[in-house]
Amino acid sequence: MAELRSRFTAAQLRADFDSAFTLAHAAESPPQLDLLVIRVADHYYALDLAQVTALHADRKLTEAPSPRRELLGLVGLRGIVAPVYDLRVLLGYDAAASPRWLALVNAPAPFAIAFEHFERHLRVPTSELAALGASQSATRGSVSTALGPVPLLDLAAVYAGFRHEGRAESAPERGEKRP
Amino acid sequence: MTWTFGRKLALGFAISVLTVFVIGIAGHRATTDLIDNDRWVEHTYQVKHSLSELLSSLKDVETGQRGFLLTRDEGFLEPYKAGLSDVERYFAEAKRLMGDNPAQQQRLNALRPVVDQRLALMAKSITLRRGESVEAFTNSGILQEGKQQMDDLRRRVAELDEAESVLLSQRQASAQASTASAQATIVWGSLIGTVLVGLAGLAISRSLAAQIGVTVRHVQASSAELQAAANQQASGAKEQATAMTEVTTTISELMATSRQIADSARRVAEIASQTASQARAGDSTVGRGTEAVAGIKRQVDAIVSHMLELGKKSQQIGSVLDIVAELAEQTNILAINATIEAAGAGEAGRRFGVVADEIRKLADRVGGSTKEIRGLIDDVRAAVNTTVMTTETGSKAVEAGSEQFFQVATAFRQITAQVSTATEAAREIELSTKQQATAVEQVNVAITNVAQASKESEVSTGQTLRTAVELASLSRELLKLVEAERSATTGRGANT
Repeated sequence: MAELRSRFTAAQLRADFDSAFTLAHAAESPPQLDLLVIRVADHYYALDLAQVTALHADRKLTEAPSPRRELLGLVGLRGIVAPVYDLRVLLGYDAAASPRWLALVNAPAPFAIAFEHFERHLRVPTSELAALGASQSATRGSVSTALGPVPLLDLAAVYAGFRHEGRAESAPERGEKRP
Repeated sequence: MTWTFGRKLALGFAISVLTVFVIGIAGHRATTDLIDNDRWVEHTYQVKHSLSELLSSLKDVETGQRGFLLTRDEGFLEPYKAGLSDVERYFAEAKRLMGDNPAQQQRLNALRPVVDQRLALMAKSITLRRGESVEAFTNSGILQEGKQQMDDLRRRVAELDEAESVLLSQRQASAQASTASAQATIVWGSLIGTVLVGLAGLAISRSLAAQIGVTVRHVQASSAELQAAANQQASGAKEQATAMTEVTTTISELMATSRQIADSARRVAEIASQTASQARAGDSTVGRGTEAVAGIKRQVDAIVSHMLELGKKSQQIGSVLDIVAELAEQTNILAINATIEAAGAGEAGRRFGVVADEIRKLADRVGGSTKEIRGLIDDVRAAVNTTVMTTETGSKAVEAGSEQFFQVATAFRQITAQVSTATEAAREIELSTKQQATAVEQVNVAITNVAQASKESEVSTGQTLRTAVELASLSRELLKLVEAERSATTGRGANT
């Protein structure tokens, strides 16, 4: 039964993939958001693909001694050497094992964030983005998905935090409520 | 020293016998003397009689001679002839009777010539008278001579008779003295003997009364104890009889129980025999079951082998699937990065973005399918592992079952052997119980006899009790008699 279902799925995948190139381009489509759904400390978060330059997995990091706990090291991506920050620590959780995934953030000073799990790519209409409270400074809102409402991280705000020494110090304490 | 009844009575009787013996001896001597004197008196009378008859015979001879001399008639010689023989006979008798008296013998010897002369003279006179007349004869002077001889003869006989008379007087006096002595001996001996026997009887009576009184009191006390003991014995005999009855009932129940046990043992033996045959059948069945279990074990081992192979295949599929998943993930990453690049290229990258999007979708779906397949494979592997474990558990269970079957077979064989032993034991029990029932029947008979003996003992004990009561009563009466005798004896002693 499972074998039959796999065959059906493979045929459907082939058909869907082929049929996608047979359809004409839609003239206009409603504005949409490309999101990357990730999982940090067993909580789902969404990243705006527009704020991400590249996504990588299993990259070797070069350790860089630093008093900042969230700095995991340095990575070289397409000729760019970028610092890698642990998103888990940035979001106020305890540090865990080395995260596998890296997302290079589109910022004036490129940096990368590391997280444990990449769930999927998601494209949703911008109308699905709902606003959150004022206290959630690291998020841009909440996206309604099949997994439930997922907070959309504002990577620009995170970058801004790096730029501001004081804000870095006022980052959420570990173990407290996440953004 | 304490004298026994026998010695006391013997002493009393000895005194009495001695007294009687002494009196008897004295009386015997007096009587003997009296008889001797009387015999001598009679002897004297016989001597006097013989002398008198001798003289009378001579007179008869003389009378006959005178008659013939007067008449010369021969008829008168008859008394003469008869008198001659009487004279000889009485003379001989007198001589015999006087043999113990020498004086009288001498006188009698002196008389003999006189008698002979007188007889000769009478014979001569008869002879003369036949030839002569009376006158001649009378004148011959023979008559005078004859008279003289006759007078001498009478004088001599008178002397003899006188001497006998003297002896008679003496002997009569002696006889009278003997009579008086005998009378005195009898009278005084009887009196003295009576007194002695009375004294001895009194002494013995007092002594015996004292001893018998003590003894009778002891007998009375013993009778009371005997009565009490007889009472207890009677009660015990009654209880024993009751107990024997209960024992008899119990023995009867025991006998019935023994029969039931024998019957049950026989049924047990039958059931054990059936059980043995069924156990043998069970042993055969277990043997077949063991073979079947061995077959199952082989099949299970084959299943385990196949399942392990399936697990390996699943692991290989998982490895391939890892590659697919990694490819899908890399494809997805590439597609996402391509989307990013396409978005950065603006309108020129729009078409590329579509392709990248489709590739991302495909990779995303492949990744989902891969996850799904992985889940399925994980399920399969888990199922395989579970099946392997279950099968191994089943194999172990089969081995354990095989071992259990072996143990069951062994147990069946042991059961068969033990059931055979139990059958033999049950038969032995049956036989023993039958023997026991027979023994119990014999015991029942014996107990019945004992019960009968107990009843007889009860009756005998009752008789003993009655005898004890009578003995106590007799003791009391005897004690009363003894007390009365003692008081009477004491009263006589006090009066004396």
